[in-house]
Amino acid sequence: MIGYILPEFNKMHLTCILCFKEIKIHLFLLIGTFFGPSLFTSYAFFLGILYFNSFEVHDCVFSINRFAIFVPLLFGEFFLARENQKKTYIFLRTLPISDRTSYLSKNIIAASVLLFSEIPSFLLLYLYFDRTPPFIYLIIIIAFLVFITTSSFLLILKFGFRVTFLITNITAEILIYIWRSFEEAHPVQAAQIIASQSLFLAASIFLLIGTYIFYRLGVRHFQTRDTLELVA
Amino acid sequence: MRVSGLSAAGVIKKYKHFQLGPIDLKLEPGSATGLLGANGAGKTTLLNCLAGQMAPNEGTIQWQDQQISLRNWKAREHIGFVTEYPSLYETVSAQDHIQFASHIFQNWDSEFASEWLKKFKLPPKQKVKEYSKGMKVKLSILIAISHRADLLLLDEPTSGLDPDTRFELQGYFRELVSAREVCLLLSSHLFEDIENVTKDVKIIRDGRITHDFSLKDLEKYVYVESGGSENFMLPEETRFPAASPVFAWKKGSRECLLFKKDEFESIGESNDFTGIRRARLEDIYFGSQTKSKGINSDLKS
Repeated sequence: MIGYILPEFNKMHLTCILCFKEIKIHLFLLIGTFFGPSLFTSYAFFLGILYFNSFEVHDCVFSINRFAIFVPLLFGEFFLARENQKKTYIFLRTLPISDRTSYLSKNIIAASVLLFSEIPSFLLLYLYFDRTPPFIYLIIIIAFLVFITTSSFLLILKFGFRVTFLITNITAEILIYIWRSFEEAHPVQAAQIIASQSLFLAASIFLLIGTYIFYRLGVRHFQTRDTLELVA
Repeated sequence: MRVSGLSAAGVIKKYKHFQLGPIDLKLEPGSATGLLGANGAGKTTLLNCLAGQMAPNEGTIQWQDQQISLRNWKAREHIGFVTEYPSLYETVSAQDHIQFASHIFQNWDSEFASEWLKKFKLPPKQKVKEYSKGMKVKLSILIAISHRADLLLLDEPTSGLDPDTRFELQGYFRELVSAREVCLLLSSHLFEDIENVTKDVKIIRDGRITHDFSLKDLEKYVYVESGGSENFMLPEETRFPAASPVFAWKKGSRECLLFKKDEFESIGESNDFTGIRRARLEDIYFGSQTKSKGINSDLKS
C-alpha cells in the first residue's frame, strides 16, 4: 500500500544510505539542530516561568514554541539549499538513484531533525494546552516542512522558500486570530468543537492530502529538471 | 533494440538562444573519441544529454540495450561522467565518498577502487575541501570508473590543471581504454589531450558536429602557409586549379591552407609558400571554425 502511494519506499535501503550520507556530511550541524532548540526551549521556559515569573505561562509557552520552530525549519530547508549551492546534485545525479529516492531522503532527514528538536516544545504545548492532540502539531510541522522544501524547488531557490514561509505564517496567524475571535464570541460552541476533536481530525486529513499533493509536485519538478537547472 | 556501443539519433536540445543538434552519433565499445569545440559550441550540453543529465527535446540516446534518459536512472550503472568542476562533498574524505558510492552501485569494484586510489596518490582520510583541483578531478574519475562503467564521458576534466597532472591523467585515460575496453568520449579544447588520448575526433560548432575524422587521417594532409603574394586575395580555386584546399583561413596577415597530400604534390612549390609541414589537429580545428567558402572537405560529418 505505502509502496503504491509513495513508490520511493520500494527502494528503502537506498533512502537509508542517502540519509546516512546526510548525517555524515552535516554531523555537527545536525547535532546543533537536534539539541539547540531543545536547550533553548528548556532555558527560556525556566528563565521565563520560574525565575522572572513576569508573564503568563500561556504566552511564554506560545512565544517559546513559535521561536523554537523556526530554527529547525530553516535548517531543514538548508539541507536542500546546500546541495544546490555546492552543486553536489551533479555528483548525486551521476549515481544510480532515482530522483524520488533523493527527494524523499532529503525530506525524511529534514523532518526527523525537525521533529526531534521540537519534542520539548510539543511537551510544553501538550502540558499547558492539553486540548490540542499532539499529532496535529506533528502534521502541521511536517506539512510546513514539505511546503517549504518543495517551494524551494518549484520557485527560485531561497526566494521561493521565503515566500512560502511568509505566506504560511501569515495564514497561520489569520487562522489563529479567527479561531480566538470565535472562541471569545461563542465559548460554548468552541468548547464543544474542541471536545469532539472533529475539527482537528478534519484539519489533519485536509493538511495531509495537501502535503501529499505538494510533495508529489516537488518530486515531479525534481524528476523533470535537467541537472544543471537544479544547481543553477 | 540492442545497439553496439553508444548511439544517439536526432538529438536536439533547444535553448532560447542556442540549439544543440540534430546530433547523430555512434561510438563503438573500446573506442576513444575526442570532442573538440570552442566555448559555447555545445560540448557540455551534448555530454550532459549523453550522460542522461539533460532531457533532449527530440531524439533518442542508447547505450547497448539501455535507453539513456533523465528518468532512466538505472542506466547510470553503465555510465561514468566527470565534469570540469568536480562537485564532491567538501566536508568528507575520499574514503567516505568511495564508501558511499560502493553502497549505491551494484557493480562496485572495491579492489579496483583501492588500487586506483593508490595510483592517484590520494590521501584517503583527508577532507575533499583540502584537496587541490587535480586531486578532486582524480577522485571524480575514480568514482566514475570503479563501478565498471562501460561508457566514460569526460567533460574537460583536465581544464585548469598543471601540465604534469594533465600528462599523468592522459596516461590513465589511455590505460582505461586499452585495459578495460571502456568507450571513452573526451571533450576538451586542448589539442594535446585529444591527440594523446583519443583516436577519433569530432568537431562541434554551433551545436552541430561539423567534422568527424580519425587522427590517422592527419597524415594525408599538408599544412601550407603563405602571405604577401599578389594572388593573395584571389579565390583558392583560381590560384590552385590543380587542387582545391580542404580548408583555407587567415591567421593575421598570413594565409593558412590545408591540402590533401597527393593533390598538393601536383601543385608543386611554385607558389609563395612560406611554410609547409604535416597537418596537425589544430590545423583541422582552425580550418573547421572558418567559413570554408564552399570548399568540400572529406573530413566533414
